[in-house]
Amino acid sequence: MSIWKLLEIELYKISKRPRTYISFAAISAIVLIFQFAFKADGENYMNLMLQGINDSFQLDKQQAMNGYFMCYIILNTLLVQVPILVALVAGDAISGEANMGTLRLLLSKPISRTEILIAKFLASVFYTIILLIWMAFFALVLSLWIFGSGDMLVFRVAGEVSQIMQIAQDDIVWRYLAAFGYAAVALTVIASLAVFLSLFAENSIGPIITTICIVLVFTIVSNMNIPVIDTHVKPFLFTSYLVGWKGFFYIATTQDGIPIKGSIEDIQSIQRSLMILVGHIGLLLLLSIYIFKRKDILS
Amino acid sequence: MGQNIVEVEGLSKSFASFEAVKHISFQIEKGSVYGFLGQNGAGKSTTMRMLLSLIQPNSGNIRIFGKPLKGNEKSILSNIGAIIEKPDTYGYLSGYDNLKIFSKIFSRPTSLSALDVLLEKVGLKGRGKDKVKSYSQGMKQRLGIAIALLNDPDFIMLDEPTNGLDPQGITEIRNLIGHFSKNEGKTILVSSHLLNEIEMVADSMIILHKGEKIAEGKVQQLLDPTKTIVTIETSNLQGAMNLIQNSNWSNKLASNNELRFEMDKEEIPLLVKSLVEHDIPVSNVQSNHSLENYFLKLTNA
Amino acid sequence: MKYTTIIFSTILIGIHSHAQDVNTLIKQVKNKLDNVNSYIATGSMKTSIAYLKIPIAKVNIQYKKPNDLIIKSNNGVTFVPKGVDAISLQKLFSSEFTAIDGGTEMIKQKKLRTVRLLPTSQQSNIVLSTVYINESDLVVEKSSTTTKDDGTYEMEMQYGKYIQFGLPDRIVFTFNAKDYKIPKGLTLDFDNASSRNQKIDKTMLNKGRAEIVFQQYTIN
Repeated sequence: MSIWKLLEIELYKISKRPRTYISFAAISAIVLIFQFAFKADGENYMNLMLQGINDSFQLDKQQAMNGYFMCYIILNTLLVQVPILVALVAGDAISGEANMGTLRLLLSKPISRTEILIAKFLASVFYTIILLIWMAFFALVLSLWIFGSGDMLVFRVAGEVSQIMQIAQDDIVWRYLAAFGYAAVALTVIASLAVFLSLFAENSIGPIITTICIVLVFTIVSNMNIPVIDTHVKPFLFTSYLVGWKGFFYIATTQDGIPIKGSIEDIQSIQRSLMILVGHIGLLLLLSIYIFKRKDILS
Repeated sequence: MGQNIVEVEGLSKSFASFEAVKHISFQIEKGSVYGFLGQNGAGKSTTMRMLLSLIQPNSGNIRIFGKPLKGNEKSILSNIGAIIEKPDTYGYLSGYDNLKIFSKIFSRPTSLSALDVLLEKVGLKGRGKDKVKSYSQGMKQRLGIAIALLNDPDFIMLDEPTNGLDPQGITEIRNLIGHFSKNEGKTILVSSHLLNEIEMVADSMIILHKGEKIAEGKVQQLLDPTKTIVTIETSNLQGAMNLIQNSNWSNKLASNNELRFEMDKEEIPLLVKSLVEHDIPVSNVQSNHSLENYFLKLTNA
Repeated sequence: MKYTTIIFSTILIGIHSHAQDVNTLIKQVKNKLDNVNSYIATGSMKTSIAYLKIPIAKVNIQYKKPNDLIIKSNNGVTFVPKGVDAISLQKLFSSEFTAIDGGTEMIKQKKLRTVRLLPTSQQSNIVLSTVYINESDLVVEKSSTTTKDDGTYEMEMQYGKYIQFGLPDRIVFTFNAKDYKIPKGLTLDFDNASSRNQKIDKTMLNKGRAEIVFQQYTIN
């Protein structure tokens, strides 16, 4: 029994569950609402972001409100919600089977528990990636179609400083690809966490809610601006690294403040974040396998 | 004596402070139907789960097909078919889809015609396309059996297979067990909380109560009309035990100030006599004729 | 006493004669500019202000007499400083003003005539402009304008091929801008170590600079 065959079976099971499609529907709905709202009244948002700049500069806001910019705004909002959708499926991995009573059936077949767990984990990752591709299509491709393309503005608060960075339109697509790749890794941490928690429950609500709560609480703490938390707590919360995809849009500049094409301001920081996230995935996966192998199946 | 398919020795399992299975041993002979009898919570399912490596025992040895279960799980499980507790399958999938999943696991053919053969075998022909959640309890049971039989196993475990079935369903299951045992030479382990269920299908059986083995043997022997179960109430339990241990009366069980064991009916006067001779005060001696009474009394206690 | 009077009258006469000169000078400069009815220029604009990290923009500058100047970008998003249309000097000279001679000044090794222009109309946004004129070429090399609403802006011009039209090859436009703060909580930033340490020269926050380099004029 190869892991790929098991993965195929797991994906087949996921594909047959209605809850799987809730996420796709939710993402489509949110993105479409965003696009509709910004098509109708994007200028207000631009004006809000450009407070103080409107007095000093003229800017073609219609041009600035292009598909690339839209995608950034959508990801900014949506990537906070997507962990919930990932948890919805990954949190069900083991606990759902326990709840249905199929876990004992599955585990009394000649498949090792490590294989099952890895197959379930890979299935969750696969689902996450498909979800991201779906999101990329809606948020980027559809936005480009509706809003057109152009240079992209990135609004950023760096330390105490607000900044607007402009990225040339031929320098954007690779950043999105990298950002989606990064987001896939970040969301895989959520999937690993949800799979891990699903080991301990016999219905999927518990692990799903617990995953969401952990992500929520960690995110809130990650966004606090208190020096003690900055230095002593944030580095240890994986949620601090979830927004790392933005690093690909923080373009390096020359001394004169002119963006350098193809550059990233702080690639080391992104690499470090990625390593921390991958470390989380590895640790959660190993811990899950260790516990699952020793677990008495009572469901 | 044929070869043993299952050999269990000193098996124990505790969950926190609760001892679910207490040091039980038994053997299942090849080609036999072996019964697990006991009330809910007697340790039947826990033991069966341990045989399937779903639960790790605290102590004891399990050998199946002559190999230790630990370390040989894959090869052993590939030759076992089992339904534990309820015949749960994926309710959101069709009967076909459920069979397909497990066929894939066993690398068996997954074509519709191959699946139809399986469904026909368990009497579910024509219902393959329906979602399992629309199935009746009996149909679910049959699907569970179809899945358990997918890999053409030599050893089949059925945990309370007649639970929730109507009388016709119960009969069908009994016939099925008989068929697999007699016509296909499979070894079957069946559990039930009803003595007559076991009596009707099993060759040998073990009676479990609160995690302990209280009787084991050939069903015919255990149900032998010449045998009886004697309960002695005495204030000198140890003395009575010593006395009985030296005799050939079997299946001793002591609890509180009671001692229970099986013996020939005709030997009861001999027992009373020797108790008196050894100055063991006896306040009550009771004899139960049938295993049914014995089992009920035990398990209702 | 007599001596003093002579000096005083000399000064007065001097001022008077200078004032005449200045008005003539301005008129000459203006006439030169007025030869151009319209132009389309291509070039680049580099806008610098602390909070903007933007590329050098390729721009089209369209001018039409008297006051119509538009800066357009070829590649979409361009931050055009407000008041940058002041680079069209015609606009400055088109309104009614009183010119006051400010004498000469050496700027970048060039002797330039300083002229202060005071608008006569109360409605004018301009409070005071100071222009530094190269008298031999009859072009404005530098100007500084204080406005009611848009602060003070300065311009420095360099001339080349198009000097006979009074059109510069390069303009550096310096302006005041408001501080910029993104409303809190709107961005959820990836706060990496380098960004946390990012400090900014506060004095530079409000000083903007736009450097326009003209490559080609099509003059009508």
